[in-house]
Amino acid sequence: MKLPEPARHSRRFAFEKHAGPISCAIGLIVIIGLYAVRQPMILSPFGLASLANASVALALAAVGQTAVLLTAGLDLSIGAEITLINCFAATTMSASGLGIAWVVAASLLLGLAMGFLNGVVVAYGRVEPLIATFCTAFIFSGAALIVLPRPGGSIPDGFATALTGSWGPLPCSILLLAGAVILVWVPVFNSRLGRYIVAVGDDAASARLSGLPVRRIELASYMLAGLFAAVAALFLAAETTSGDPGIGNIYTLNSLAAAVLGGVALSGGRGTVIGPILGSFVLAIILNALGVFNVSAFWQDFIEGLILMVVLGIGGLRVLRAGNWLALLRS
Amino acid sequence: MEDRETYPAASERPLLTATGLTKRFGGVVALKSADLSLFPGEVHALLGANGAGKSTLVKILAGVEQPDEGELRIGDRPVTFATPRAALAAGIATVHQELSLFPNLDVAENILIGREPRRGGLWLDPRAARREAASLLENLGAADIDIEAPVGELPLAQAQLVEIAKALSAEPNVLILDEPTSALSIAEVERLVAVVERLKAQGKAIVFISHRLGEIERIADRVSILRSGEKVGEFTPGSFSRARALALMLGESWQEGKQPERATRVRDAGPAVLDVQGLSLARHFDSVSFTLQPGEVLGLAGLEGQGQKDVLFALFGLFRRGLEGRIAVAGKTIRPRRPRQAIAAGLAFIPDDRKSLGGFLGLSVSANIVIGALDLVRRGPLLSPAAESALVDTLVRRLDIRCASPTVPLGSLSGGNQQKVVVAKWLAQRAPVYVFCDPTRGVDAGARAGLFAVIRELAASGSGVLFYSTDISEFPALCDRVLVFREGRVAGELAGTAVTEPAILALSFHEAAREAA
Repeated sequence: MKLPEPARHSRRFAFEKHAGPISCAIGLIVIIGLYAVRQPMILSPFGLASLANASVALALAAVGQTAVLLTAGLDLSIGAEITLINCFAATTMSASGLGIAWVVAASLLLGLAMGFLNGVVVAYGRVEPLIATFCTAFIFSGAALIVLPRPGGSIPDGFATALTGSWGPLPCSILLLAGAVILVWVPVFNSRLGRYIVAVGDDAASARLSGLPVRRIELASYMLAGLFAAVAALFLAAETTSGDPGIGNIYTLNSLAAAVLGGVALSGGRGTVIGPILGSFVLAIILNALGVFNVSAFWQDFIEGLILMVVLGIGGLRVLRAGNWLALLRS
Repeated sequence: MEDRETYPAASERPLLTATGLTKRFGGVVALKSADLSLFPGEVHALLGANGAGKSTLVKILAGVEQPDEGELRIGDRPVTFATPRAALAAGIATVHQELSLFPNLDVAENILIGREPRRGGLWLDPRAARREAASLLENLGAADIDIEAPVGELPLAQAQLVEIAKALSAEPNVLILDEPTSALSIAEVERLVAVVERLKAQGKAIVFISHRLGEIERIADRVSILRSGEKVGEFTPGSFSRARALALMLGESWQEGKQPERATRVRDAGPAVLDVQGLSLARHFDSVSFTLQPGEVLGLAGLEGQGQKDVLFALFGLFRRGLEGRIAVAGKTIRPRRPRQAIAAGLAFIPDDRKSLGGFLGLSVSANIVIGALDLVRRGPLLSPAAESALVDTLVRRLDIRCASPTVPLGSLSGGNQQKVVVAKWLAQRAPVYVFCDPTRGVDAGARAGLFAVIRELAASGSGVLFYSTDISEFPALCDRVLVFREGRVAGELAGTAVTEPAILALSFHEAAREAA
């Protein structure tokens, strides 16, 4: 463990824990307000549902990314995982006669399997997460191109409307997100595994000395990311009613930015689940608005890159607080 | 050493036996065929100077390091600990000197890590965890620690108590306490002693490491002395004596007349090249004052982690804030907040960790030497290869750096030669103050002699040299004057012929000077 700083920072800790989610919540209200000034329809149930639909895939990816970031890891293959599962679902759900339920189950397993591969390479192969997941991303997106060389495939209408429609006043997409969080995240992070994920990210050396199975914990975090990527991919399949071998690309970096925006520390050990979800909504709505207000596609990329850089830069600011240059060198 | 008899007599059979433990790191033997028996109901203290092998022994028992040779037995059963997890599972818990805590987790979560109470065998039960953690802390007399505070927020003494509670929560049969009291107040130490007595009464075995001889006399039943990786003696219960312990720690080097000769140098009477007054940094060192004359080699001695190394780091601008006091180099007051500023003021720093601090292992020897002196080899805006190789050749010859050619990468040289290259980097530009921070770590005897010659030459040419080493035998060989640090303060100063190993060691350990003398 690094020497803890003296106690005068006690308010800082409390603030830091909630700063991400709170500022995202405020940002979300401001952005929807600004959006509504230009486009009042957005506050209608249909408008809100469309914003939700535009955000949920990113939110799922960001939650998965957060599981890995909490261990001080990094998953650059999330976008490619989404792509491969999306292509798999689009080619099998209507055509193979397997039935929707089987394809959904297979997709979730595929997500876990890809996460398993990442985890094995990082935790047991001791390859830097940055390099390892960058490489596996090529494997996954290459496989996607083999499965579905160009956009196509089809998704049964029933599956599509079930995920993108509304259930009473609530968009189904929000229910899907809530369901994934309640069924996966909440149990995991109320059991020992979740505690250990945070502990490993907080201080890996302490985790080892405390007798935690560090590598298995890292492996599990990548599998969680794969699972959330699979849910995101199924949702995207439903939303577009087809498969696309380029659909996942933007989710890799955006999931990272949404997580950091939501207060997850790239250095591990700190973060919530609500922060990345709110961060995803903020980011997705800004990007969505750029399209709606006819900002040229070139400028969209430019602005998106700028936002990402600023958000990821925020993560670097805390480095300036360190009291000792050596601590920086060795961190 | 009173009323030993009130303790239950230790039973015959040890709980844990280590035989012939040997551990090498590269060519260095950290532990040489060490034996250790831990008896139930007994506190076994390990005592030794820096590098004696205490840490290595503890790390092997805790499963952090694996021995190259030797055997561990629990009862009659041979065991091997591939990981700390395995040692914990075998009932061995450790209070680590460096603490094994999680700054972002709260106190209760830290104490019960790996043993979280659960409902239905799955769902964490934070309320039960807080209850258990609170009762463990209460046992330690630390009920005032906020159980829900993140550990990173606690002062060091409280963090140390949390570390102890964490080890106790494992309900170990063997408890290893590696300098558990370094940050504790007297009252807190008392509570720890009471807890240790209780564990003894329950038949647990305890390994206790401390540099405070007073604590060892109070707590320990059996004391093993280590020196240079070897166990050189063991005091059975009731037989401990400070004077004999110090003699054992020193070994033969404490014979009269074995002091290395030191030429008495004529010192410049000029003003101090370095003047440090009241230098303090919270939790690192406190009110450190000294002056360094031109031509003088001043040693900063003491056991590891007593603040002497941090003083050097602070002088070199490695601490960005919190530094109090005055530093003047060659009469000019400076406030170094980054190495650039310290270098500009005239400080040259030769660190122990060449990889991360002093050298560029992938770059050539030549590039490493001129990196800080590019102005000297510049013709207009361009670097002049001729001037560079002239400068490099001179320094390579002067320092006797052994390399095939100055164009080979620094990483391909031996440790001692790497160290010389780092020194050469600073020689290219003459500095008033040279700071050597454990420069002989991982360096063989021949290279060490060469390095010492360089240091003496630097002093002879009028620079002041600050020297820190983890090997106390180097101070008498090199230093005109030595400050001995203990717990962040200067515990004493030795000069001239008074700079001897026993004197340094005595000052390093608590109030031991009288017995040693």
